[in-house]
Amino acid sequence: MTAPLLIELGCEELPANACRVAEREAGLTIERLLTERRLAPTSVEVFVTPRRIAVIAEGVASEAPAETSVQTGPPEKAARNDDGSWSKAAEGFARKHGLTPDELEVRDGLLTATVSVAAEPLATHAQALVDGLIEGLQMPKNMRWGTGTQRFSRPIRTLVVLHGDTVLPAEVQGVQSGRLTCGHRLLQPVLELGTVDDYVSDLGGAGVGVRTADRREIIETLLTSLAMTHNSTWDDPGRVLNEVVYLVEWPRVIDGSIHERYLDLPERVLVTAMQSHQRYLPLRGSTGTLRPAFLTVVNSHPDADAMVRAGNERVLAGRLDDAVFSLAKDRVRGIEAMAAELDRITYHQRLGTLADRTARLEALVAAVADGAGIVGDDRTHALEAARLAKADLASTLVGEFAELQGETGMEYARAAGQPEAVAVAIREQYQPDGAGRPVPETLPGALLALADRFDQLVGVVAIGERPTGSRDPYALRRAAAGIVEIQSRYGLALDLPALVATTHALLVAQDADLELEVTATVEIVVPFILDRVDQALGDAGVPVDVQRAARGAGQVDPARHAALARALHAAADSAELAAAHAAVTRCSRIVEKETAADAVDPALLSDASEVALAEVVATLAPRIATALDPAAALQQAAALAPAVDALFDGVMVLAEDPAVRANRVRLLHDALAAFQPIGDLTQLQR
Amino acid sequence: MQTDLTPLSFQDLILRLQAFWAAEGCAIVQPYHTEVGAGTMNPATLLRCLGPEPWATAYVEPSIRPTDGRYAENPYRLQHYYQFQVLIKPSPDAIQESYLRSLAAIGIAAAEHDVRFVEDNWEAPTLGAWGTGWEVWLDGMEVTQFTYFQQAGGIDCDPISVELTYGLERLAMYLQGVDSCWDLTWAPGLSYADVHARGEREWSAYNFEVADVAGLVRAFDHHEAECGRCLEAALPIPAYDQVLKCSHAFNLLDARGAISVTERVAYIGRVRALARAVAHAYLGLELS
Repeated sequence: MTAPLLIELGCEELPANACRVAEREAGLTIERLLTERRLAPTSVEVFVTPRRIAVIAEGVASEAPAETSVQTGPPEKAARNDDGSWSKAAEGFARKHGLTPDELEVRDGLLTATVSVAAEPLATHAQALVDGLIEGLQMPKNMRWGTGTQRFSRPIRTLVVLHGDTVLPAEVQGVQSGRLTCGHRLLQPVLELGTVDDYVSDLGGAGVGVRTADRREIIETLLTSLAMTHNSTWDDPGRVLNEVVYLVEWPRVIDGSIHERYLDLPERVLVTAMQSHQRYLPLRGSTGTLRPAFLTVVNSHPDADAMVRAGNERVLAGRLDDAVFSLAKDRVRGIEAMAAELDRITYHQRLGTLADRTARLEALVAAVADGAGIVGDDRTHALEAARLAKADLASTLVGEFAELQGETGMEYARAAGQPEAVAVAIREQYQPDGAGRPVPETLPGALLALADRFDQLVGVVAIGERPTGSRDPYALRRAAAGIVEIQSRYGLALDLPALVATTHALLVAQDADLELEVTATVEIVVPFILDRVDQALGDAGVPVDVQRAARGAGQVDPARHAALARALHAAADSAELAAAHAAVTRCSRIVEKETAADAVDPALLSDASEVALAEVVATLAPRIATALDPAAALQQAAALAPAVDALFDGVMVLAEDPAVRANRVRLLHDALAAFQPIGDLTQLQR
Repeated sequence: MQTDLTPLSFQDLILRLQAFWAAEGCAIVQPYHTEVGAGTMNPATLLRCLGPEPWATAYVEPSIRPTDGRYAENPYRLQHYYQFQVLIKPSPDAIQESYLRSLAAIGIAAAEHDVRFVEDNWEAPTLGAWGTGWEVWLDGMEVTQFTYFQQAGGIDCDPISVELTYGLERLAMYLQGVDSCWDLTWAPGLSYADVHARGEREWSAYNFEVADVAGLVRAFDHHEAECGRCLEAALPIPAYDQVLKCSHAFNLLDARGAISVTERVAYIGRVRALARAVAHAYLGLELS
């Protein structure tokens, strides 16, 4: 008999990020666990609400069938020792399958084991399925509760394991499986489930929308229709709905009003006060201006709407009062006074104050601008923006609304009469703030954003906090990806080792409490940034072997590395690259094993092919190295390949005379070196 | 349940919460006798959450945060305010339901509101402590911190305690429908301002302008040394009081603007080391 299997972990309110993990992993986990037990389901569906993680696997048999299989092992001739006793190989093979050697058989010259597995009821696996599900969910943060040792994102309070209409036995830290679950807190705290088929409708009747997509659709529909009664559209620039879907089981939408007196606040302040923390949705009229109202998604009973509305209006008014108060206070102080206070704010205990950081940013903006040949107003504006970049972190407004950093600095710089380019650069220093997010639109903004990211990356790596695995608390991957994106947008030359070393030297000059020397820091940071380039290349379809080959060129400018990888990729099917690849492979086989002379001795070059190769290398090597773009370099390098082939055809490289031999190896070594600017072609998978 | 329409006074709010949690089996141990920044720092929470013995307590805690003083001019920022603290070890299975009933006991029926448990984890590096939990929203307003202690004094908690911290002024402002804590009714005919405004002004002035910096530096050193002497004498509970006194001296120095950034880091490190040592001594563990 097959039936759907339901496993539901009833939890205290789960964090949104835990819910997302469950959405992603719960179905795959149960499918894997069942399949491993010969109980593969026909399909699985995951249901996640703030108070439950559930999986329904369809078509699960009530019993894993008995199974017999034949496993093959070592050859017959390895089965026995000289004295006729069973060999180690045979004993090991038998043991692996729970047999004695005498139970093995010989088929087609191989030892074989006939392995039988008895039929097993699904019920005997219930506990393992529950444990496996909990273990399989890699939650961002786990906890313990009560007296137990179980770890999970939040305490598990109910457990349902239902096969069709039958409860299967399992337990999690004292909670026995059963058919009782929680409905909506207000509508139906306890709900008894009949059969798995009714799960969605039973929960729906108890005020719980178990499908996230359904809740999302309901929320969006309700938002849109309520917004229409305000002749408005709703807006969610902070994408708070991604969390809100995991904060409600029975979503409803109510509106609230904003007192006119707050509408003079800058729009970004109003929107941030609504969205951050409170997760309200602002309303916009037909011209796009903010309306004196907001929408919010609630989880309460309609009868409570008046009370809930009044409460939320008061909370928002309080936050807006804070904003009004902060702005007034900041206006009196001004951005220069804030900048002067940065020496009292710690950036990082080992990396000094924000004043230290500001000094580094100014020096780094100059270094990046000098390296990229940027002069005039752009350079001046970027430097001035760097001086004021972090001033808003000392403002009262950013103290209340951290999300407004940058935006606030821009406004305060404008108020102080700074040029618009300076004000905008202050805002743009935080761009891009994620993959696919806007990049600075002005050159001063780009320079400042680059400086900011180099300072962040080098500082954090130098205190020994490089990201490992999924741990990246300082979002360094994002910072490095930002460098790559900005550079590719503006086509600026960036000498990574030099900039990293400059940043490190600035930190050292400020007596920062560093863990790593400059060399070690460069060796971590440079590849770390180039890895982001490779990631982008991979996303654009450039295969890993091509990325690796390009990395072999030792290029330390991200844009040049990317250009080379793309050129190699574009030339992948060309005869020229094939010839170059063959030549390089031949050369490196010899060079790896043989000892080369210190330099080519022209007197020892006897064959015409040798003389020719030496000449070609001498001519082409500098041309390849200084070619303006990688496509040109590839073309030059292609001309090198025939000369290499001619040498292999013309002479025995590994000559008897050790001097001649070492001289020829040296020649091949030089040829290889000439190829090097187009990458390590031996990495290419042909 | 509330029977008439008069909102709860501030003192009634405290009395109701005490009666509720007393009936739930909590010992009402009363506030601590030296300055603490939060109810969590009362030894009834921070020390008692350690070790295997069951423990359930509730108490109101006057919480002292010198840098938050605003001379009684801000509607809800105070250098002296009140928390209502509940700590239960091991955390009971139905603690969320108990909490919701405690709201009902002060006139907030969950069915008439939007009550939400929104993720908010707690961390206090100076105390080597962290936990997981929520801030509880009442119609969009944060009214309670709800935390399952995972570690304190650098030691894994076993069993796990649950801590509830109610922000009393906020709850009372909500219940009484006033926009400034100074307008709260403390008792019939008596406002929060009548009780505390003068003290708030004087303490703000003292904290920011008057407190003797050199004396506080000496006090910190003295209490730090005294903590060590207590530990040598195997007296972890008196030693813990010295940690609290160090912490308060540090907070006052901070309010006086007398601590540079580097000094600040060093002071925090000293308090953390003391807290760790005391927690280990309290459990009779070796410091690793």
